[in-house]
Amino acid sequence: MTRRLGRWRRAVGVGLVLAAAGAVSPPAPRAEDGPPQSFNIVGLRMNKVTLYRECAMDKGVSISRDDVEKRKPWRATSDPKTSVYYWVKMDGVDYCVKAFAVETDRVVPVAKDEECRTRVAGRPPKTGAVRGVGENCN
Amino acid sequence: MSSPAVHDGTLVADSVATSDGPSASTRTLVQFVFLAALGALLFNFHGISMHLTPWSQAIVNAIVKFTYDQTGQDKTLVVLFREENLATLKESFPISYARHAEVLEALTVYEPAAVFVDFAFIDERPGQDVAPLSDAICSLRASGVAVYLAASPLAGRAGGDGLRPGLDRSCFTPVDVQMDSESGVSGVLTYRACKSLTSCAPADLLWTPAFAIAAPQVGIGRADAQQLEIIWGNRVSKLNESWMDCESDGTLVHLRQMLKENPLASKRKCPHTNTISVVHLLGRFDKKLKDESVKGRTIFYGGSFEMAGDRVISPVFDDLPGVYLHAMAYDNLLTFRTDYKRAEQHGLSLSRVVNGLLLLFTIVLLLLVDKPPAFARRLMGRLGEVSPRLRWAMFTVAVGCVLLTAFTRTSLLAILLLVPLLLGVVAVLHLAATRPERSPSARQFLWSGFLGATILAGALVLFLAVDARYGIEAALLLVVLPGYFVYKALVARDVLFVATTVLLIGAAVVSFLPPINLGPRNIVAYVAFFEVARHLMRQADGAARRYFALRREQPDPASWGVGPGVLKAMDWLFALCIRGDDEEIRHDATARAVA
Repeated sequence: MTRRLGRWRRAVGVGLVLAAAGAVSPPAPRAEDGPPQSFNIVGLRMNKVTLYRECAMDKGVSISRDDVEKRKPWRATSDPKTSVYYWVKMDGVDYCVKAFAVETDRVVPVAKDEECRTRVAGRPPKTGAVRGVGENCN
Repeated sequence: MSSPAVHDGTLVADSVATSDGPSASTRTLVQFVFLAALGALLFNFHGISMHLTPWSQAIVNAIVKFTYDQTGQDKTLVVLFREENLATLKESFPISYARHAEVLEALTVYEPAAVFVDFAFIDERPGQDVAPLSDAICSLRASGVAVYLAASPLAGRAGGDGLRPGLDRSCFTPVDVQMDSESGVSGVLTYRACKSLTSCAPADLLWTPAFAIAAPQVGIGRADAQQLEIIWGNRVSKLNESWMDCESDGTLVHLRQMLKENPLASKRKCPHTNTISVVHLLGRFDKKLKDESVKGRTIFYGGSFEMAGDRVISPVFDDLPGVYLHAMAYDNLLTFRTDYKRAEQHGLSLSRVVNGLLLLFTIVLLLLVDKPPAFARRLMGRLGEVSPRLRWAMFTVAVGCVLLTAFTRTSLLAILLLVPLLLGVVAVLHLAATRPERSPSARQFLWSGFLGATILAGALVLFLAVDARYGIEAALLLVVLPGYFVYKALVARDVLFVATTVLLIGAAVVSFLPPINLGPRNIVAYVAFFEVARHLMRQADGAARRYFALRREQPDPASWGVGPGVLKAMDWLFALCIRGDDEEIRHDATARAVA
């Protein structure tokens, strides 16, 4: 009986060590993660495009086609976490720009569609509340 | 199951008791009124059609799957802002004006023909400037794209559209996004043309999105606009399959759900309308996507968020974001153009008229099948006496009309098909009134049992195979329905059932085609009514015959425990349940005996 308990204790101990190792190890890379790609921005698809300082939506700076012409070849890198933004440097500061809005000198590959295996149709859980009620009441 | 044959001698003896009761025509009239009342009760109040809608709808889904044109699907695209996109885009709910502006800017790059925004901008938001959104809308408009914005259902707000101030009204058209209520398990089946259900003629009434966009394209005027009956297309979308999880539940799950609940319990997972998410749109510019799915198309930009409502239940798909309702209605309008399927027509419920006619036809057949009254036999028997030349001429006309509808495009298809349908009705009535009922021989009985078991086993195997390859609705249409037909024709030898069902289906097709243009009819409900009422009538007929047999054996009212008046009333009541025409039979028998 005592020997059996000891065996259990050892098993639990090994389990805890493994769990702890899992908790401190870095998360597994996301499916769409990949090495950032480098390329050049060669033009804009619209007259004006907004760059976001450090990708903060409230820190937008508008640039025109002329601005891009002046900076050509303008080095940019893809964001390994999302296909929505590219990163550029302007005056030594990192900005992100909407991917659809710029023309690049080569096709920037997307490692994997972020929306893969999504279900659009389906029955959401029924709730007795509406989203947003009680938020920002003050 | 069936009562004694019409020409059976026992009936002649039974008929003596009823000879003092109501006449044959009175009985037929009373039975007609009873069946009409029963039909009205079941169809209107108890909702037999409602209970059988899933089966009928599943069959309609299968027909639509193989016949619905892809015109609308090619011209429509849903851009969906999904719950998960909020995190990807570091956005929160409700989506900021800036983000909406960004989506519209991206759409400008992709050059669509029209954009409907299924987000209603009603309230002013502190700390958010609406100008970028208004500018994005106006620049979209300036690039030649028609822009439609969901109006608020709240009346009396700024500008009559209920939307917040700060949006440039000259750059977009407000549209009414009110959704019709669901029809049982089928979900939403109708789509209004404008806010009003009766008339869209007043110019100040807002159109619904699908009508607003499609009306100038297909030539629908305000005065002609009627509530639309949605045909939920279920074609495969290669675009959707390229990124969505479209896997269905599996054959055995389908079978279990169909037997446990109904065939609509297991629905399709991927929508018919081509769809991309905002992440696709805002990501790297995709020339292939632009050329094949966005450029020149109509875009329906909507959202799919948890705890935000805005879901639409359809008979084909699992619950979808509400924007798909507008996209499907638009798809219908492009596909059928001015012949789109109507729920009502010009205030008159043509739908109810057709339903009434179908019920009437079913009742007439019910009165004629099995034991037709003598006057019907006489009348319809005369049809058999028409010259063969006339018969062939009629047959040629009927075939000609069917061929014309198959190979020509005309707005009078229903009128053309009405000719063979009416000839078919006459033929079935003739068959019902003159076809003698035969009792099967012992050998036939065994053979029928074997055949029945074989059909059942074969249908089950085929069902599993077809469901696995083409889906449950195809299995219902291609296996269950023909299987039941074959069973009725070969095992039950009920040719009249098959003929009646074919005619009902024909009537449904006629009412679907232009210029009638009604939505699909619930044929399953009529067939079920035919079967149930036929069974009830046989039971009533059998009970009445047993009653009169007892009456002959025990004529004394005292042995019945009631007075003579009550017994006389009972005689009348039971006599009304007798089918066929016994006086005529008696006369026939007498004539035969004399001969």
